[in-house]
Amino acid sequence: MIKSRNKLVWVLIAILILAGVIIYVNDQKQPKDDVIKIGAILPLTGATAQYGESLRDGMELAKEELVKKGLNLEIYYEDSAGDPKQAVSAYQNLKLKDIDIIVSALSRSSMALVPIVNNDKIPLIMTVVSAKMEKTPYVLRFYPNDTGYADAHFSVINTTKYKKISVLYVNDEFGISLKDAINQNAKEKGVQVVYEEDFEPGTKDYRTILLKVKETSPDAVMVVGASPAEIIGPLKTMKELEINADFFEIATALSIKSVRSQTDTEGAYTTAFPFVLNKSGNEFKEQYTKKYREEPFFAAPFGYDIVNLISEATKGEKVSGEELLNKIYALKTFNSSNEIVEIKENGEINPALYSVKIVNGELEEVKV
Amino acid sequence: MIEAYLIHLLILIGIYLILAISLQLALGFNGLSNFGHIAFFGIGAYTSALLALSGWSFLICFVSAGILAMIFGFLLAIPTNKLKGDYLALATMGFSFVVYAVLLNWTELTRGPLGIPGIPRPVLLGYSLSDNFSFLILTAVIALASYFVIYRITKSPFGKVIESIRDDELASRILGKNSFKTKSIILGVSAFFAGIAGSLYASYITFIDPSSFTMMQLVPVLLIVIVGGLASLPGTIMATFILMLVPEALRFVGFPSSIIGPMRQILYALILIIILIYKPKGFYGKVEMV
Repeated sequence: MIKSRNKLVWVLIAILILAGVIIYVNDQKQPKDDVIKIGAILPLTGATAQYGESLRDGMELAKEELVKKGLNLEIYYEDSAGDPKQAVSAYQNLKLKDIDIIVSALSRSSMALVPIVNNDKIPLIMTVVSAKMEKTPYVLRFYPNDTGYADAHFSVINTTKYKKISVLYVNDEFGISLKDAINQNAKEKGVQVVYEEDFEPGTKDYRTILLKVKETSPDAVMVVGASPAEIIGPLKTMKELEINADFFEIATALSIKSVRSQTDTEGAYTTAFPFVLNKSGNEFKEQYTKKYREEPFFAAPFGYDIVNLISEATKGEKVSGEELLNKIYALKTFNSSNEIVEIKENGEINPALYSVKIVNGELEEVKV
Repeated sequence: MIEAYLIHLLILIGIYLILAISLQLALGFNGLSNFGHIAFFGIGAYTSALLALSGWSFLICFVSAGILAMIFGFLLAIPTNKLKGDYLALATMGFSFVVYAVLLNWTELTRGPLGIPGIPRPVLLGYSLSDNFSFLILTAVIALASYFVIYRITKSPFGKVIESIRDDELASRILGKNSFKTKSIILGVSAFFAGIAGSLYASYITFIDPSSFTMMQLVPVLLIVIVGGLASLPGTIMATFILMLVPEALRFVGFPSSIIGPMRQILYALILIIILIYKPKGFYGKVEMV
């Protein structure tokens, strides 16, 4: 027993020494100090891995193009698994590499990074984050904010046709933020919200909620879901229950062709990014499809654009901290894959979203 | 630069050590399959965060986090008194689902899924622990104190009673030991330490949301207890260090970006499987897992 204990203690000591050596060796072999170093804290595993993987693919594509042009930069990827604790660990690890700027995705992990980057004065660009948030000095958001999705529909819909609406939303930070934005828009346009109810992420059965919706006889049902299943599920059930109301998705799942093909989506409304509607980013789409042999998921152009934004701001010059942040703000606008976006003083870089209707399986832009 | 990273890891190890040894007290020493432990961690984290944001001092937030979690521990002991093994595990799991649902849906208090950002760092006796090194000292002191208290409990005559209840509850009762009272105390004490670990977690990460306190978050803590060995405090310390450091060490293995996330998880899982093949009772396990 004592012998086996001693053995284990030696094994533990060996593991700790090995870990120490690996850390030391890695600390010594830092890359050149004259290149911009981007730390990307993305959900590369877990339920939200699809976002992280496509952001990484977009970032890699941009890096490849920039390197060909002679602009050097390093990108270090860390997995957050969408978890705040892991995101903080990943950040502390990236700091060892003398990172100049951090890119993070998803609200939960990004929110945990906000106080730390502000304290360390390292700029952070968040993406795939739509929840309501306060402005803080070192943080930028490159993604539509909470009002972006609702505004896209309410700026074009005929409010004389839609007097009463029902709202279903997923009970997470995305759903709650967007539900508030719908209510705000409805109030301003004089549209009555006759029923609203949340559902848990991953819900499979929407019958009970939609039966209650049916009783209120709305002109439109607006659904906020964080995953395609949370949009397809209510849409299918609405048809089964013969609810005679227009379906509005307050997210972008139905703008993806493979999602639309899962059920009868004819006549439903959704929002779409400009690059999905071929309004911009065609070159990106072409290069992406060539490299990865598949159509880009909607998160991919954000990874691509963020790397290009950093590169355009710094012009390959090694800058960090406040100087790097000021250079990004100094651009004022940026020609992204999703049209030209404004870099606002409050740290928001919000690409436009368009309200679209599905006609014959294709997206048709809704105009006033 | 490397110091900052190591300090961060040591802080997390300290927090998880408190969480794991408190679970060890209930699960390893008393045989209570308490799957509601993560809920006590959550109750502590939310209590501390909400009080801190209302302007209360860290000491009050910290103690209140422990006390409120302890009250819930005592309360949980009442309906689960006669349950054992799998049934107790299911009931305590149910408790953690209830707490999660409350954290998620009581939006006026907890902000629901939006979580609570901007939790202030502790200020003790006018000294701000905003830098990680001072926070590490605080965590280390609390972890050591927690270890000492739990160690004393397990080595005391009362400690023998809790182990006897684990091994044969009926025999203990025949000998005049009040098993309900004993189990309630253990659940309460265990919950207290989980609560203070939650307080430290909230103050350190500065952002909490209900997803941080789901059953999935209990898995690493359970793993620490199992790998360390049931009813072994030194084993728990060893397992906490190993299980917290191995995934971090894997960050330094230069995988290509396309497989970086899954590859690390596969390696981590492999290491765990190898440990459990060669040490099925954990490092210093004294009792079999039921």
